[in-house]
Amino acid sequence: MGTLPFILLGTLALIALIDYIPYFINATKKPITVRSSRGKNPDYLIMPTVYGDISYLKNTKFLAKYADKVVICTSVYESTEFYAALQAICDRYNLRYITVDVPVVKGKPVKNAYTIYKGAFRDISVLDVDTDTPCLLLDADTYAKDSIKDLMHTFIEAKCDMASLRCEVANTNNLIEILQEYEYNSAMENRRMDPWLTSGACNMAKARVFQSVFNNHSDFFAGGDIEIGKIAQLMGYDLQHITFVFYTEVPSRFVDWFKQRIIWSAGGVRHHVINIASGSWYHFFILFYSSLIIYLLMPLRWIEFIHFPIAFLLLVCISWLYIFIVNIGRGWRKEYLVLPAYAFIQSMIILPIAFVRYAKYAWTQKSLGIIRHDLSHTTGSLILTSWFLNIATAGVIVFIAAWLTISRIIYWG
Amino acid sequence: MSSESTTLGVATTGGATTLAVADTNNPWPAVIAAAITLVALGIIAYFVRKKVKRQ
Repeated sequence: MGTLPFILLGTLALIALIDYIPYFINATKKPITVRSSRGKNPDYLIMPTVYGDISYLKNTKFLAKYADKVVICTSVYESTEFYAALQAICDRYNLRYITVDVPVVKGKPVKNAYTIYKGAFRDISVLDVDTDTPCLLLDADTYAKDSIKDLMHTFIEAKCDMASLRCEVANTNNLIEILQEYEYNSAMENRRMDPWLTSGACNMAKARVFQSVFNNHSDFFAGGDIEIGKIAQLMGYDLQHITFVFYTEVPSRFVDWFKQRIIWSAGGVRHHVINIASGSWYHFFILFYSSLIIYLLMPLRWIEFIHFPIAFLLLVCISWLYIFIVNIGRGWRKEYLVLPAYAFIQSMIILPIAFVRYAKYAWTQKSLGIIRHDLSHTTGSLILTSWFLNIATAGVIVFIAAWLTISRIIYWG
Repeated sequence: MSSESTTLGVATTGGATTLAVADTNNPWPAVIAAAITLVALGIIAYFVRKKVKRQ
């Protein structure tokens, strides 16, 4: 037996470490933590969205604790029964709601959280707040246990324009929920490195910042949450991550999780492939990791898997080892042994389907979801340099992906 | 939210990439050129990011 298997195993083990680079970077970043405050209750807004089906509104008990600060946002295209049910909830918990217009494509209103927020922030005076008032956007099933007042004080003291917040899993009873909990926790730790990755479940900004960002938002549903933070950063706003915990429900059944991840990955296709020339150079690690390795080199993975499946067995063992090391001191659960399969389904099975789903969304919405942003506060030469970076970085990454894939096709063919 | 636990996919791709580079007849000029280009672009990007920030 030669040394080749050991060289190969060592190479794979070293490369697999890329997943853990954020752990090391995170260790150097100090997160903004929330401390309890006895100060005056600041001015702020909590803005959940609900549309289509009133049963999606599940966090009313949480909202009721901050009733005078809540504005539920919905579209003007709901049914009479929907408005009646929403009014009944608002009467019961002393909440208020607003209805906003959304774009219409081929006679059909484009109803999603982003088009609704765009309508809500079109005229800030309707919200009855100042332009610098912090606004908290959250899903209709998301809630916090700690005081929102403390969060608002922290946001104001941090003097930032926008903040991503920590989102954790509310339900952790079965296998698929536990695996998602692991993934959410890992993703939230990485927000220290990339605070601009705003979760759709909860994020916050000054009212004028949301207005400016939503004015530039593509209205595209898949990946629309990340687009908020991405546009804000591209436009030069200051983004931070505040480790204030919100809880959100995750799919309890494998089939529901699978469907949700197709939508998420379709958003990934939009961000990391279609928009590779839209400011991806802001984040070289993500450009390399997500655009190149995860998405553009997906065909290469399948080529290697078909021709050299034994490598996957080695990788399962490496994956277990790394997960075990990362969880030293955090608590090990036997369910984590399934994580390699969880990763396999996402990176090998869901991803190809996501490309098709993205195409379907683009066709339905008559939009590719291209990310645009306003740089009018800068100079012409800076805009020109940004344009050059867009083209140059995208060109290099696409060339590398094509070269490697063609090279392996020729080798195996 | 993007998927974070993709070790399996990442490492496989990385492994395949390494093999692809190793199998190519003298790959180093291309690898070095790509690395220098990315570093140069990274330096430009660093300064542009600083300039775009609102005061």
